[in-house]
Amino acid sequence: MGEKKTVRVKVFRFDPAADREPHYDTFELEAQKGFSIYNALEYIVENLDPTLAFYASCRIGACMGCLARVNGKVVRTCTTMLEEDVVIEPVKKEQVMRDLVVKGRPLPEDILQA
Amino acid sequence: MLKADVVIIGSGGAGARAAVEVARRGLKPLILTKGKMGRSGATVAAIADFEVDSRSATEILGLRGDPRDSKEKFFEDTLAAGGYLNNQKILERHVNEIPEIARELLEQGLKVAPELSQAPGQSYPRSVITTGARLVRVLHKMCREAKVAVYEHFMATDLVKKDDRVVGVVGLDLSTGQFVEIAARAVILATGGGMQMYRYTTAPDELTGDGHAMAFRAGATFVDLEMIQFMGGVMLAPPAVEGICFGFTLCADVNPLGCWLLNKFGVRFMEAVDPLHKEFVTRDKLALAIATEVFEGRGTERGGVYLSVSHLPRQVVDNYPQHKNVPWLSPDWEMYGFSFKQIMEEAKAGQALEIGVASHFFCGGVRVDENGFTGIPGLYAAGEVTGGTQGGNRLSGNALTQVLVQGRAAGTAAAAFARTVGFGDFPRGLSGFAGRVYAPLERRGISPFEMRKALQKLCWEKLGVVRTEQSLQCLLEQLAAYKKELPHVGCRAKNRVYNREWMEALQLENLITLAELVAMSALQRRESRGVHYRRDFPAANYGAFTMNNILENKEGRVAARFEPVVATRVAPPGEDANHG
Repeated sequence: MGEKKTVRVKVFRFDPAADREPHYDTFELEAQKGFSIYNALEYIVENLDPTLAFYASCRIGACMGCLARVNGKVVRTCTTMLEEDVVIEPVKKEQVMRDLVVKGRPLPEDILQA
Repeated sequence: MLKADVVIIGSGGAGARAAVEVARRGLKPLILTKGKMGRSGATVAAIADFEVDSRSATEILGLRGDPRDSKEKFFEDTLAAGGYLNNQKILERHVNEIPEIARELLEQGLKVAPELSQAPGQSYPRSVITTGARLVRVLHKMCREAKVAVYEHFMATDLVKKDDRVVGVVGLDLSTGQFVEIAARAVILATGGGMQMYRYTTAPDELTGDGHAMAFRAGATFVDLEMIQFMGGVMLAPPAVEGICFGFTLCADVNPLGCWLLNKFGVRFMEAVDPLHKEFVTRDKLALAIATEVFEGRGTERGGVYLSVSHLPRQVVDNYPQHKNVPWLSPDWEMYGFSFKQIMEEAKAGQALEIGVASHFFCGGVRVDENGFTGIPGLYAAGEVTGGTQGGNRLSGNALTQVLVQGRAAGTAAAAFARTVGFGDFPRGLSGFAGRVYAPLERRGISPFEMRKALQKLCWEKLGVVRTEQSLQCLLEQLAAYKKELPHVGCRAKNRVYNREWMEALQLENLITLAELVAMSALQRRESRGVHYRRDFPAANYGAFTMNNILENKEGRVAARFEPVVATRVAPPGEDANHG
């Protein structure tokens, strides 16, 4: 649809088990109308870098699972369109499981018996 | 190894309600969820209502309804909509128990509209209007208060059996990449439907039939799995709004704009389908009409039709959202957080919207009795993963009623069973299970993403709204080929922590298992009833097929047969109904 425009998607990357520090990877995507940040992340995983971790569920704006920090602001990635260069970061950098995925809640002790 | 009295797989409405019940009975529940609790599953994404008979809603919930209604009438409407395939013992509990369950939810703070609404097919107003997000918040709070343990980002991959009994679950901790064994006295499946089998769906990403596939591998029985409800009028493009039922809102919902649906030749096909109502029809009728255009080669390239407003004056289009008669549409064309403003600007300029059908709800599923018992000792199921409540079709709002009633019932029954037994002997050396989980990570080969997309497209074309003997046979042949290719599916990503490609490979195997089950079921029902449409058998055959379509696992192969429906109150129609 329309003229082609390339946008740069800069994504926060961090594997606490392997990396000493987080870094950022930049992917170049062709912008198209009605293409969300969620669509972009899915596109990156399926076509450019399958190791990128992000979490999403309903894709229709309801579950709040896909929240991320886009250009510094916490938004639903499914309802936010990719229109310009963006920086995508996890909601809580200090609680990262991997990349954009934040850790789940800890298991209670009484479940953790051998 | 981890241990919990009752393990519940799935954290949506059914799983959460079941867990609360287990905890209240003094036992330790553990919820396993692939995602995050409260931020995954179909319940939270429902923009929805649940159904309570109008009299109970008036007397017990204090809502404005019609006191002439009754539980019996609610029962009869649900049964008629389901084509008399519903399990009436399950349905009795459905209508009888929801008022009390709803009363508690309201007490716990669930916000609902003070007045009931009336959905198509319901004789009286029965829809208690709320949202899935609100419902999940209250259930979540009840879980916290009951101290329900939750294991997030855990993908259950198999049920573990000792002799004939289910004694636990194994799976993948997505946050570590470790294979984990969990012993349980009883297990409840609450994994939802398998809508991701299809190219377009209204359902969340994680609904990939994991529960169906695990249950099949463990020897469970399935009922009426061909009954998959499709939503007509969802957006097929652009990508961000795929699967959103904006088109249905515009043309067929309560306050339509008066759009035209056109096939690729520009013919307004609804004039022939329903000369009186045209586009203003129920969602199943709309889905069948659109799917028929596509099936007969008159669809768009994406497999849909055009929704046009070109015949309308611009003022009429501009004014539509200003009337505020569609509660979920803002005056600025925003729906569910998505802006449709640009799309509508272009629509006014002559660029039609492309809409189609999408998978929406599984009416059939794992066979259970009215207590959620699957027939396998130690294994229970609740919610959309099960069949029997809805029969062949589902009325609006009956999904949330189902998950709440069955969740509580299965929680009660699983807890009672767990009280009478110890932890079973958890088998040692589950290397087969672990090997299956690690295999795709350890090899390279066919991309699971690509194969999933091919599968979804194939199911959409051959096992969608319109089915024929030929399309189903063709699908089964292709599925057999996919099964042969599965051992060659591999991951490019080799990391163990939250590897989406790995997850995809495991889900793909489940989707293929599920697709085969649904196709076998659809092949077997040589009639059209409820949401199952066979183009080669376009009428219902009450004499021959007022029966439940049963699938079983016979040493890894699918065996199909029919069984009489469970009828306690209303005798199902027979041969005579074919001519009436």
